[in-house]
Amino acid sequence: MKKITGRVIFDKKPQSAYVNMATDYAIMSLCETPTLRLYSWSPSAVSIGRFQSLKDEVDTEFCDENGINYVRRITGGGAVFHQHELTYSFCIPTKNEFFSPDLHESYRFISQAVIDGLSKLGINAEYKPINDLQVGNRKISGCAQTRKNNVILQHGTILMDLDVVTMFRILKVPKEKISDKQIADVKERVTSIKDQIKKEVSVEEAAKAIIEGFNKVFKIDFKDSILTPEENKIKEKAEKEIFSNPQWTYER
Amino acid sequence: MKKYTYKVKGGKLLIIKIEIENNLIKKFQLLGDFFLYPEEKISSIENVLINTRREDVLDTLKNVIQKEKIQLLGFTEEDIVLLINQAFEDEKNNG
Repeated sequence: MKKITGRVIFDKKPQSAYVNMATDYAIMSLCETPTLRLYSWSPSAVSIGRFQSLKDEVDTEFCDENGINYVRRITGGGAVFHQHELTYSFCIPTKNEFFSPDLHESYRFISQAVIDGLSKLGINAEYKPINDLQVGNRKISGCAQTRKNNVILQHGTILMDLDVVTMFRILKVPKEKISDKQIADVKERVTSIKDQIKKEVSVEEAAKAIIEGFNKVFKIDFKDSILTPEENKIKEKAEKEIFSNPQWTYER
Repeated sequence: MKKYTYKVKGGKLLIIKIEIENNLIKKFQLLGDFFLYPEEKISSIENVLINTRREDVLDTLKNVIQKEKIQLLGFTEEDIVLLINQAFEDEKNNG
């Protein structure tokens, strides 16, 4: 298979929830070549799925008191506490010859790239439909996908470390969800890179492994890149008008 | 609005907020950690159910999903109906 060229954008400096979501939005809006972005969050933040109720999912007073941002994603899925994690986003035009636009297949395919990346760190993860990666029966990564104008965006988290106490304080976890999996203790259900390989891995190291995973699965020759001026313009506009706009955040 | 929750087996968490009056749905909101494409069509699903009778809910949902080419991931229209039926049962028993 002929290698195609893609871009990789590694944001070494953690950014706010609003900038992060606006950046993925901007890349997706203008996407012509496959673009992989790796990033992290500062301050810590909660993102909620497109169809979730902010007030039902997140203790916003606690977040306000503790300087934790909250943001609504353009993607479905659940609420995520972004603290010790590496986040990826991958945008790819659906017209890509080797890429199935089928929903289930595309989730599986992109997840495989993350699995390959994790294996480079010595972690054996498996795809757990619809949108999780697990090590054994413990979640290490979750993702969410959207499509617009023949472009797929999938973004996902890769847990570097875990602060369950704060996570529970912020998220109003529905009891149904826990009892369905029949495991009450979230520590039994969630794991992290640090937890798996018993040592600290830097975000750079993890990012490098994930890039290699995408390279292998997608046969893409990734060139280091930054946002174009056009992408930056859309990013700044979306940060203001969408992601930090209460109308969007509190939409439901 | 009353709230009903259902965790779809092997799927996602589905929440409805609903108000029923004179056997008609008067207010309706669909919430949860599911996926629905294209996302903005969630309002088509929510709006089409307003002033719908219990017995018409499934057909109404099927129609809008087909007509507007909506894809559901992590749940089906039957799961929404299940929650709406619960709400109608409660209304019958308490209202």
